[in-house]
Amino acid sequence: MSDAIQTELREQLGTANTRRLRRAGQIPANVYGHGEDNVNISLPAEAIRSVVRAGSRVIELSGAVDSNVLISNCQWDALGSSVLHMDLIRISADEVVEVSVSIELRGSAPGTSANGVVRHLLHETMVACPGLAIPEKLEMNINSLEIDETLTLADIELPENVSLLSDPNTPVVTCVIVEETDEEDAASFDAAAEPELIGQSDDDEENDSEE
Amino acid sequence: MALMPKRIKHRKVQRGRIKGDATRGNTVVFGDFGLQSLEPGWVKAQTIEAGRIAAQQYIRGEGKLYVRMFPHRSITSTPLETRMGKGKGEPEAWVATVKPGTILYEIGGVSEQQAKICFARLAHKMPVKVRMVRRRPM
Repeated sequence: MSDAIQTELREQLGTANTRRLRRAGQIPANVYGHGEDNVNISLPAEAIRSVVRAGSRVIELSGAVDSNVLISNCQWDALGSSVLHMDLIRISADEVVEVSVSIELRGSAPGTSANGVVRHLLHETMVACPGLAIPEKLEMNINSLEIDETLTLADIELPENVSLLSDPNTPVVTCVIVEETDEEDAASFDAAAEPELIGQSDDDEENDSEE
Repeated sequence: MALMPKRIKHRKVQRGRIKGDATRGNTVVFGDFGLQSLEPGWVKAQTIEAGRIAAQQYIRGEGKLYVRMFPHRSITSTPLETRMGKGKGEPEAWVATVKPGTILYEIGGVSEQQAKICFARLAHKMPVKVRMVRRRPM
């Protein structure tokens, strides 16, 4: 967890005020949870950018709100380059939270040397863990992955106090031989071919062609 | 063969305008890296196929390429040396409508360096400005 991020209370709400805030280098956010009142705050955009880039899930706030919070939701702009708004949930050290954690592959599969291709099927999974000990990622070792073999969530070595919430038999990564696509097929594009028209019966089509 | 819909309601549609940014299909979902459009435009079915082949030839036997756009819209044109009038032309091509932010292709199972080279080859074929993006952390 990084240093505490300074927050300011947001009293003027609404679209225009929020846009003004973003132009001034702040990000609007809401803090809620633990049966306390919701608080509208603003956070410095630069600090949030570094937190998001590092993949941190829990941040420490100071100023308008003094507590540890979990990033519950993050709204991005259309190009996915800047954060527009954040939903933050208050958490305590001993509280168990359910979060989605990314799965990263480690090592190289022996199956790839036999023309196999590693297919990463599941990129993230839900886990339950203490609020202040959320793993940044789960690592899966694929050094034993042969062709036509599949590793499941059960094969992930989980850190201490972390438990899976998804089915342990869910496939995560597999190694398969890819069939080569027929590129001649692509070249023979029939420009005259047309899709079928919905609601037009065969009789209508015949009449059209006669005309 | 180039992509086109199987069944449609109307053979010809009005041209319309591409307004705003993509609010759907703007995140990397299947692979690790994506090619994101920065401009609005139409991408022809043949161009989508050409891009797919260019990328597939580079990553042959390694990663997996995902095509995230589909040509749903028909484009009509009047033949050359034809007098004005006589109604709307015949469908000539099928295009995918892309908005700024739309993910056009995704790639998984390759290193970042390989993905960069692959997308550079692919970007040459695209009629819109594009950039490479990675999977969003949250």
